[in-house]
Amino acid sequence: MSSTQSSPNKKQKVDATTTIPTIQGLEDYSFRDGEEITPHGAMPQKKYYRSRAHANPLSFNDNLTYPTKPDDFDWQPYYPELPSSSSAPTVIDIGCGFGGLTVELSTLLPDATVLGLEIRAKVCEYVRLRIMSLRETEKGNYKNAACMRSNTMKNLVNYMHPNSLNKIFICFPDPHFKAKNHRRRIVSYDLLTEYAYCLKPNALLYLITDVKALHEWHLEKTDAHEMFARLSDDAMENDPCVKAMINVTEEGKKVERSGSNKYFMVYRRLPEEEVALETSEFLK
Amino acid sequence: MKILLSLPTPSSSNNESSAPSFVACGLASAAFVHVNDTVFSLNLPADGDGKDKKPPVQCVDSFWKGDELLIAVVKFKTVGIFSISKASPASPPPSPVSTFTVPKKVSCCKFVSSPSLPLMLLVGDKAGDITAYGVDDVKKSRHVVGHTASMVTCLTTIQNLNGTTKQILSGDRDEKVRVTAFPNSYVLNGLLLGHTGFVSAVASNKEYCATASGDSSVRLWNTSKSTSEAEIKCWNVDSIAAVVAISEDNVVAFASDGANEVHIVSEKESEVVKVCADAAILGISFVTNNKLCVLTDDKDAYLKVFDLSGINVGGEAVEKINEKAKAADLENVQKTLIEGENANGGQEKTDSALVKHAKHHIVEKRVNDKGGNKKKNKKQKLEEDNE
Repeated sequence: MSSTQSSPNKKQKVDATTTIPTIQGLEDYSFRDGEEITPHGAMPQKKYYRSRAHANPLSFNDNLTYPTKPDDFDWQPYYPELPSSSSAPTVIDIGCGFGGLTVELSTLLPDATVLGLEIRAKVCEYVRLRIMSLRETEKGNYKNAACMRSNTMKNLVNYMHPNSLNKIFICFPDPHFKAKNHRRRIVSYDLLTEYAYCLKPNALLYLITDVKALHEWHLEKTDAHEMFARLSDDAMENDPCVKAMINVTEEGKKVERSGSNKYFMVYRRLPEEEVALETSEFLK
Repeated sequence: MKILLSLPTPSSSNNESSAPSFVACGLASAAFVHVNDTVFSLNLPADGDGKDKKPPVQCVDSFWKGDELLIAVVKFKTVGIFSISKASPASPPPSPVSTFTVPKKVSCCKFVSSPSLPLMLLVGDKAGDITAYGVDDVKKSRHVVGHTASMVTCLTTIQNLNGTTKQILSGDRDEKVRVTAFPNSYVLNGLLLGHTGFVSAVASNKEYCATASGDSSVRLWNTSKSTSEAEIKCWNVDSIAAVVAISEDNVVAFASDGANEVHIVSEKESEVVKVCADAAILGISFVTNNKLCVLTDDKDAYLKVFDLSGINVGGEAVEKINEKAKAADLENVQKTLIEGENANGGQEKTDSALVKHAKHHIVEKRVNDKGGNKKKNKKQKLEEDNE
């Protein structure tokens, strides 16, 4: 049980069932001027966790370490109250930002194991403390949500087993407007091959952005990828995750306040039997 | 010196014993073909960049197309495809049938064939992309596999029983080896995960493959198994493992960067047999299950063939049975080699690609430690993660 008093420079006794492992690269960010920035169990304040909007995924990023293969990684510390057989993530939010969607999905999909992935250290720390606070204040809830700092572009396959995910969300990703930076975009033909590898057959990929040019890029790349097919408008209407994706992300709320449009699409990862290679114009 | 060694397997329609034996190799900025006992050079003019006016041969691959042997030679960004006919192999030194340039520096290449598709050459580049170029029409291409945010270091293919390509194996600088289906390359069949350093070379036979890596290990994998169960065995090497070859009956030969000895191991044998080549080893390849062809930087005898049939697990070095460079052509070979070296200003000054990979990792660490952070290094962190 955690105590309610906090003395300077002294960490409280933490409740093991609500903790999430510390973020790589930010192990010592709990104290400032002798005071704990966010006491255990308290909701973090965004002002202490502001970070630059852009991060270059191609650079080495603090030497982020990752397991050699998925079997080497133990997910139990992230989901202490889940049985170990279901502690591997089944729903991931790539670029979870401040965690709005991650926590919403945790309640929408109580049987799924939700993981938010974020490359920026402070923002990821915010999400971590947010989930821990929710686990404290609403005991028994949010035990299937967690977040982790990682560079998904480089090491998604080191963490995820093939055919293991039910849903992948990519919400309001960095548009990287300049043509020379297009290779930093999180949706590209080669990364779609990796997403198809990690997703189960018939699993879903959700994409949303407020930048029209980026949306057109998403459609172009994913339509061209043989393993994905668009979901019908009806199916998207009936999916509560689509509504969540549109409304509950911090970025989504910012877009609404500024009055811009949101563009989204959901794709189904096709089973291999349904995909046929077009050989007539193999080379162009 | 940049190297590569390629021993084309004659297609099943040829009678093995009557087919002349070919070895194609690249050494410094020259590419040679050895046909039985004669040597001739392949002339590929190429432009380098500012530092490297006469670029070295980066990679070589060969393929039997009916009675014609196709050899691809790559220098920097120029690819040349040569054709040698089986009937009259030693006719005037050929110039390329077709030449083309690619947008990024090439690191490796491999021919691929598929029923109902034209013959293609896969080119792996230093930006992480593998592109297939049509051999008959080099203007047409297709992006096949991409290693995002990394660099393709080595490439090989796994064949079906009828000789067509079934899968592509590609290694990159981020310790991963991808197994991609072909020609439906949108399907990632699996990844060979286990190395903790860049992958420098990969060699495969029908079922297994061997990889050499900058983490000083050589691993044997079963490519038909899933990601978690693929790794079979791991051998430790003195330093960066540079070259590897695997025979049809799963015997693996490997050598470390700059070493003189080839180590021969197999899945079941626990002892390592060493074959001494008396010069730095640049490339190895199995001719048949018992014959190992080694490319060295010894100017007098750069290509050596070793007979492994009498191999003694006790570790005796086996004799050289045949040195393929004949005296008559030796002069030409030596001249080209010397020219190549002078043009490059002495290769010793420029680091080999492998050392560059290793340096990249060290530089990255230093850059990140500049801020005086108490960051542990990658290896320690990995060890902690695995505890």
